[in-house]
Amino acid sequence: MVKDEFVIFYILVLLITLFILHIIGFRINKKYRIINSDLLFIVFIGNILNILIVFEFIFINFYEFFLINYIYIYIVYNLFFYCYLQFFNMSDTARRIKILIDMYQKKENSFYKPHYINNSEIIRYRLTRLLDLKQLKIIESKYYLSSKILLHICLCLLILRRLLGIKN
Amino acid sequence: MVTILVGILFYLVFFFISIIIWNFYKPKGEIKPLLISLIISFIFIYLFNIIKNYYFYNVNIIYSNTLSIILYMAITTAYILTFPAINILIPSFKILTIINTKGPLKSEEIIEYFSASELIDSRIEMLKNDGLFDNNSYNNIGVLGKIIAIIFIIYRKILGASIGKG
Repeated sequence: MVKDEFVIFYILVLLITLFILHIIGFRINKKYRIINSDLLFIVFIGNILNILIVFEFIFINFYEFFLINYIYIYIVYNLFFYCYLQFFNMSDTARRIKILIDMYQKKENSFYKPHYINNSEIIRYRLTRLLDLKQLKIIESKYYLSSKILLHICLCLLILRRLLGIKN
Repeated sequence: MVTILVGILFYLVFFFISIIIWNFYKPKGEIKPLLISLIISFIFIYLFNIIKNYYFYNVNIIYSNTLSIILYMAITTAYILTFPAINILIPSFKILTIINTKGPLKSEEIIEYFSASELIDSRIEMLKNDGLFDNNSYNNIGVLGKIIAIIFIIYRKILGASIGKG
């Protein structure tokens, strides 16, 4: 029977590697812009590790894990990877985090004027991100849907919203 | 396999509790109700282990409780981090649904669908409801708010990125 500690250690190593690779890769990508979208860049890094897990299982299997152990590792790693992606996303675009940081740094206009963040700036930034993520395309200054992946995710979240009885 | 199923079961308890809380109490904030769901589900896990050890100790099912709890924590964290997008239709998703229903639009036309109160005031109100302001005023953030701000400032510094645009 495989010891729990080995499985936990394996997942920890994967998550620390993800974090370190992202820090190094983010700085390189910022300079050379290999991948245009920061979010797609994390997905790229995360999937490199996904491939490494499969590679390690087939060719090395250092801890002599069973297939079910790898399935477990794969699920847990990808869940925490998704959490990290969301955390990064929050640090980039969450308005509540932006407000808290501005208030903490006591920036001028932060809390006395709640409208200090420009509406159009917020929306334009999101439009750019959706273009980078290839969810939108722009033709003659009009925005068109180019993929429905995020739209389908949005619809799933709306179903979940109904389940929770949220109406606002 | 049982480890994975037990982990999912633990999460379903958390999810079921959050459904009850949101349907019956309709909370305004997010942090406190999620925290309550988390605490109740941990109590369930604790009771589950007591019942299993005292009454079903002779049942020969091989699974790891530690790994189940780790899986439960992973799913729950993923759910909690997705929750803001569930609770309020985030601007990116709203943009996609607007274009999907209204057809191709110019950026100025899309911006018209968003009001300042929707984008900023509602978020300030939510921060207040979650108790992140000191003494319930809008003038100062509380200890938890400061901790959250510091975590994100340090994270962006480690990444070598400027503070997010919000």
